Amino acid sequence: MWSVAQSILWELYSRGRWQILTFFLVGNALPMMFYAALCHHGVDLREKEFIVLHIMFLPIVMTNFAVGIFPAQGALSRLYTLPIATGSIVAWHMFPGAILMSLQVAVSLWAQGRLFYDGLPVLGPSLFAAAAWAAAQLTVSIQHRTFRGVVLMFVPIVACFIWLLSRYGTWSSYGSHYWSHVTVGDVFAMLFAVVISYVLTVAAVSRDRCGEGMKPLRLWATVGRWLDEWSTGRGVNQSPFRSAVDAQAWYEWKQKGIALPVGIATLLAISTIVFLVRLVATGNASQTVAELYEGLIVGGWLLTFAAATIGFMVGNTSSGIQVRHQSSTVRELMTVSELDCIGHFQATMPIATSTFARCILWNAGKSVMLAWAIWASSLLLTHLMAGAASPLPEKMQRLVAEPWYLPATLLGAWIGMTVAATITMTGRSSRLIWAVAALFVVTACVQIAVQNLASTQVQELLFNVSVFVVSGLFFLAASVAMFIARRRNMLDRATAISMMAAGIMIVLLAYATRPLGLPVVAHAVIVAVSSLSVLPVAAAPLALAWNRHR
Amino acid sequence: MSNHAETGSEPIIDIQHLTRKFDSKVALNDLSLSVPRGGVFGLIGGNGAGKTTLIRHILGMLKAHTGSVKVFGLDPVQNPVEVLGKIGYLSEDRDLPNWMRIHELMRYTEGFYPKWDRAYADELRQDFELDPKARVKSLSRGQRARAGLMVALAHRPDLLVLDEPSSGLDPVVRRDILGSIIRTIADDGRTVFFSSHLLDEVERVADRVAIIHEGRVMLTSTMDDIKYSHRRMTLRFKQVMSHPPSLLGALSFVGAGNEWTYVCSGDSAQLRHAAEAIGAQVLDESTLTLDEIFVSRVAQ
Repeated sequence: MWSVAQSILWELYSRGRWQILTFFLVGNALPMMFYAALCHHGVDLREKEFIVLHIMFLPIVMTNFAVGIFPAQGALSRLYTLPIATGSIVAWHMFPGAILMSLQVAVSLWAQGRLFYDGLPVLGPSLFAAAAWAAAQLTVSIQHRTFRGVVLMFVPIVACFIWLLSRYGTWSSYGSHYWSHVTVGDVFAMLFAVVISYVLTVAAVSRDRCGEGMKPLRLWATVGRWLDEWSTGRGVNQSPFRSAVDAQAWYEWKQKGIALPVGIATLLAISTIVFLVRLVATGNASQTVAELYEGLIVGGWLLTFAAATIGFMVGNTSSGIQVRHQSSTVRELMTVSELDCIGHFQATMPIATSTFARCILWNAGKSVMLAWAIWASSLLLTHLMAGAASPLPEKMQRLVAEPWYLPATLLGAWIGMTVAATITMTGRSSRLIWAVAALFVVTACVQIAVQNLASTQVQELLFNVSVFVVSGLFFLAASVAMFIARRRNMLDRATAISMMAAGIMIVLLAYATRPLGLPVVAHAVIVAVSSLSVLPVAAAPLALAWNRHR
Repeated sequence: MSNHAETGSEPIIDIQHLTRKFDSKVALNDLSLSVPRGGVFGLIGGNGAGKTTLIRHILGMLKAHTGSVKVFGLDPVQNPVEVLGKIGYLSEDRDLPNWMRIHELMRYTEGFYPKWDRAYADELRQDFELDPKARVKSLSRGQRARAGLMVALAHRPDLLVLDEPSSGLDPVVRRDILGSIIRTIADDGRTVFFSSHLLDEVERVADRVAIIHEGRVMLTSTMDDIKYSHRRMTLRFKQVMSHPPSLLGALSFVGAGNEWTYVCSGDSAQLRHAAEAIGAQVLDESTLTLDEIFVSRVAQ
């Protein structure tokens, strides 16, 4: 007869072995690609900037590993009705996961060290991964069902990250050295984090196990009630929608569209708080404003990634995600396999599939535009503040002065969101995401192999050829999608012509504002960006039809 | 074919030689079915018989791999607006957006149906005791079913499709749905197509029935015809036997010695004649419930 531990470990192995391996490879692919590219250009990884890069990659890599392990373990609540002590449930999820995380980080950093720079620390980050995993367990357990929980869940994560920063210098700096020496104090601090996480997680799971959620704060309850009454009062006597398009547009915006602008506004609010704290801590106004400004410049590119992440939600037409959103933990959400198969309610609305897809894209465009406007206004404001406080560094001045920068951030966010939304509209995004992950890993492996085996000329040639091939594929995908959508009457002539005109305009604008001395491959990239900008307009109706009529 | 002749009009649902596979599993196997306009049509079958798959084809959520599906004479995949605009649908999982309030659900759904009757919608909402300010996520299963039914009915659909409408409901809600709503719709001259495995309810409200088993329609006819054409006959033979002789039209049998009870399909007079032909005396003859007919058909 199996013990509880054996059963849970067997479940972890049989359900998650492939996804743990996949996310281990995906998690490693990103830093490996970066380091390979940097080493190719002869960059020395001992430089300060690369300590920062290493610190930035650590949480990203760990998150990837965690994404592999979390769903593999399954929701804790599946064991609530079995005769197992809460302490055992928590222990047999927390400790095997912590050991796995620790091992993965150790192997990852060891491999990176062997390939690129043998000074990368292994012991400290791998022990930290175990402590961070324990804190993540706590995070997931306390966020259950309340807004206060959602806010509280950031506390362990932020605390861990600040402590990690302090190992590479001070918590308020970007890192001055690698964490090469692990002290006894470090080990005790991490051990303490694990123990305290375990105790608090057991307490949180015990409450959840008997259906006792956290009580909302009085202030929050009052605000919530007020918002509730306000929105209800506004809604009851609202005039009817004039058409199905109006109704669907309302649905898309209210349920999904608002997420990106609110997310960006929240991030900017957090950045402002961090900015004020740093201002008080350092007392150096000009440096702090310049750092905030630098962060916002980088944030312009990160907007694309944020939009792509939200895009997977924006294109989601299932009802499952709504049901689970209300009462599920992060782990339960991640355990669900088919999150994006269209729900009966949406599928049976009398609306043409092409119109439905257009509503989703229109909502995506509105969402991107608003989020981008919020970010751009903040950038402008900080630009004025930074200019007043001290002259901007030359590199940043040049970047903002480039006329392509602001449109490129908007276009990037549009592409990120609409391509992700189109992928989700197929209702089969998990398969597509697996395919993209596999492609990513293969690309990283090829890149590392080529860097170590081929001459510089061959590397250059292979790089150029692959950029041309990928760009050509994007162009082909846009053309084929437009052809099929036209043939199936999902794209009218005017939209098709507008699509082509927009694509050509993007190419012309890119040429008009391009920096001087662009390499040959940049021309292919411009065509790829133009194709990706218009591809969702044709592909979204086809994707949704594939989902709606299976 | 016979349906056309009976009603004198094109069937509201016409499915011909429909086959559907999910990987290697055959869910629907060369299935043909006609549903005439008007009345209540009950689709019965066991778990996994293919009822929901068939309904999903009718709604255009699944594409026919082979064969054809016509609803109101149109392909629901090619013409979703025209077809779905005339259908009210309540899914088995009561799929509704949880984040909406009842009044939002009504307002949103109204946008899709030009024939939406606001007064009727309000009347239904009051009848179903639904609070307009309540969020869908806070509703009980029975209330969700009522909310789903309210939005399915409020545009006065020509065809009401209900997938397991009674599943998981208490007797009061079940009575609301089956007893009053379905009959009212049918009495208006509209059509109700519903699937169920609660056969006593189907028997109570359906005018026509189709039995589906392993992806095939085993039997389809009016309720009266089905009940008339199935009988239980207890026969006495002259000798004791361990296995009774085969009887024309027999679907199943139980018994021992020289008394055996057969469940048969066919006309009463023909069955009596067949019994006499094998040397048996008819001791008793009675009609069957739909439940008994279904079991004897499916267990064949």
